[in-house]
Amino acid sequence: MNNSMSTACSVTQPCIAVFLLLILTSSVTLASNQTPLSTDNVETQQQWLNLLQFRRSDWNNRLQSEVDSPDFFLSKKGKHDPKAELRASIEQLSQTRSLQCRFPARAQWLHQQGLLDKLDITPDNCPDLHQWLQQFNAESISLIFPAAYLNSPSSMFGHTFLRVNQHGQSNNNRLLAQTINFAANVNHEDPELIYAFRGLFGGYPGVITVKPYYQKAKEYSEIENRDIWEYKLNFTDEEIERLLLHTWELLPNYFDYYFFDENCAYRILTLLDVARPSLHLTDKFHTYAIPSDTLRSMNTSDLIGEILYRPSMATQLEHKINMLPKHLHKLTLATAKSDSETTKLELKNYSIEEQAAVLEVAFDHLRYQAQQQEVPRQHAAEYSLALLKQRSQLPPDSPFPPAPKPLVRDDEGHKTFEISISQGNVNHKQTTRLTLRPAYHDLLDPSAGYPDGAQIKFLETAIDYRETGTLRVSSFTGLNITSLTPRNDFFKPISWRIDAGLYRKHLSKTDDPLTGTLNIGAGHSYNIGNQQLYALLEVQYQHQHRMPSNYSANLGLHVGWLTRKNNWQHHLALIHTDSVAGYNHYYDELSWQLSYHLQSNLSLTGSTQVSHTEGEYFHEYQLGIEWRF
Amino acid sequence: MIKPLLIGSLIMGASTLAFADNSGPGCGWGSMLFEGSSGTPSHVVAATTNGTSGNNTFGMTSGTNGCDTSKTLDYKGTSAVVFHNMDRLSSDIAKGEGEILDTVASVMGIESADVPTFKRVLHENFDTLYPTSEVTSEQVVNAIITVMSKEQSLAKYI
Repeated sequence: MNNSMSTACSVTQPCIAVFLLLILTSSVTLASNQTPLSTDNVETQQQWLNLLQFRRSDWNNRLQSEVDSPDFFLSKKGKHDPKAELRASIEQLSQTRSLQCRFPARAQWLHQQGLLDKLDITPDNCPDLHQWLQQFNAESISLIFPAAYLNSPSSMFGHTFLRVNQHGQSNNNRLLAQTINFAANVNHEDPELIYAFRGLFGGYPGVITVKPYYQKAKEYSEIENRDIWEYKLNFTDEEIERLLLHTWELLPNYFDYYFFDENCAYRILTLLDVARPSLHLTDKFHTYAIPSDTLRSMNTSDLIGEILYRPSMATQLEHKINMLPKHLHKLTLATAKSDSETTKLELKNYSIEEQAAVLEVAFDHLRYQAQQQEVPRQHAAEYSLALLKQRSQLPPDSPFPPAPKPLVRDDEGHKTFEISISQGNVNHKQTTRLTLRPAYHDLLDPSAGYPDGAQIKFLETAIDYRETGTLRVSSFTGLNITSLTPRNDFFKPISWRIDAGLYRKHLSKTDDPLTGTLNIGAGHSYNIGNQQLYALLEVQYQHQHRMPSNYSANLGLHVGWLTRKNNWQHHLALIHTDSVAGYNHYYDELSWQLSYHLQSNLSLTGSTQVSHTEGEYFHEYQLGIEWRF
Repeated sequence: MIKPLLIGSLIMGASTLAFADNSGPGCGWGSMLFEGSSGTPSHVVAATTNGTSGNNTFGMTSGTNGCDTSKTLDYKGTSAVVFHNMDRLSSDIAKGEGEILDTVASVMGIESADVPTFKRVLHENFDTLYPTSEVTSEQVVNAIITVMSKEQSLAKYI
């Protein structure tokens, strides 16, 4: 681990074609039954395959282990041949007792199956293993899930890891427990570009790491500002032991991070399957698993017990600001800003409790700003300490209660694959539209469990059936990420959006070819009550060979108004752009979308749109229904 | 379903997720206060891979950032906890309560009856524990020990 650091969890790839292939093929399930084990039917023994981390390849349906280090196998053919590995394991584990310390979960299972006469993984025989086990002092296991964070839509994909809760652990000291993570072992000595490339496309080996929870919690809740959900898993002592023994077997090994490999959420599921084979969690997923989906799958079993919430630093600050009386906001901002005598004197006019509240929020806010690089660090460091000193001179106990648990968790939000059917009129032609959205969340989807004002859409494809009897693709969104985070006195985030895809472009009354389009916008957003307003400066690049000059580059303004109320949501948007280069034209668009959620996964929608370009008007309206699963 | 995210991440280039500044010198309270912001290509990796580590973690084990604490006395693990939570511990002590303060009390083996005293004494001695923004975690731990030794009910835990 020298000169390296466990950083990456899952690697993401732009593999659209492969992705489509994946969603079209169904999950391959490894069969399992309880016939007595022999080397002939080993492939049907789920637990033996679990212990070797075997899985059928999505590519060629071949069974092979996902562990890539040869040391993990006792047979030379072990990676591809579970029978050979079984024979070699039985032979070598019975001949060389010390080898049982290296593969205790395997040895234990073979012993239970009556294939290994003597099991000896006691502390006397395996001191290293037991010293390692001792650090966990294991009582139970929790699954830890850092949730998505506002203004970082990519964080919706999350990370999961395990925490081994200690005997006698309380909520006051759970930070001391150890965690089990799957991460890419990256090398910081690599030149930055190589580092970024290898991190993204593979090349760094994936390894299991064990770290104290205070380190992991800090990474997520303080550095990334993500709330954390902790799900206690109802494992028996025997299952916990099995999970740890198997983790020990995996520790010195690596999983290649190739272009197409498995992510951390998936890797964690394999550990849970070893602990309790009847869960079959990995069967439900391809190599990539969205963490909130994996949690949904677990929720259907009786695996999950108590669920705890750990608000991030930013969430706590937001909560404190909401609780802070309005008349103290200005003073708090002034206190966070500079060490002026007048502010100090003004602060003295308030009650002790109010003074403590102002100082606490001022410190937290300054810390947040410095972290976001909004103020110089050197100044922030010294002045923060001065604020803490002032606070320490007041009596103890914070005037703020902890931030409350959100009503809906990330894994309780709507599901992510959406199909919708709508009927309407596109430029005076009756049109039926089928839209498929493999992932993930639209601004008009129910927002519970998702960050407000965030949208990520992948590969959304709309196909129109028109009254003329023709079928055509009306739009294809490769990727659309929108992040509309409201600004206020304390937080000043930038709202932005990016939209890349193929959209119909009106070149004349009768010609509207699919046109490669890239929109990038940035600006501000504000909340007024439960209304959200935004304004973005936007550039649009389009490419289409039927267009004069083949391309167009436009610049313009994109403003919008969003409302969320009970089950209703609406979005009114106005776009105006004018030419900067290429095909010289202007484009105006006014659109209005409305959705009514019957349930979190079923909505009625309506939309209408008028666009205006080169003296012509185009109209469209649709009424439809959306189903998410 | 995560793969195409890369496209966005590459284009975005920026993210709220971040790495600690690897070039940051020293390990005083001030330099450890604001871990987690700077902008290099590696942040794209951090954004898409959903896993980051502060350089504390790295520096602690390798000593590369000058913050090698492996040679210091550990007081049952207290040094590591304090080291990794420098900023939160100071703000907990300033207000006399908080999770990190509870965690430090736990790792030092302080019985629940003495925890309120432990918190009070540290709160009252904030200036001694954090004399300047350059104070290191080792100095903070030593100062905690000294402050505890002067309090009858806490001296037994040292």
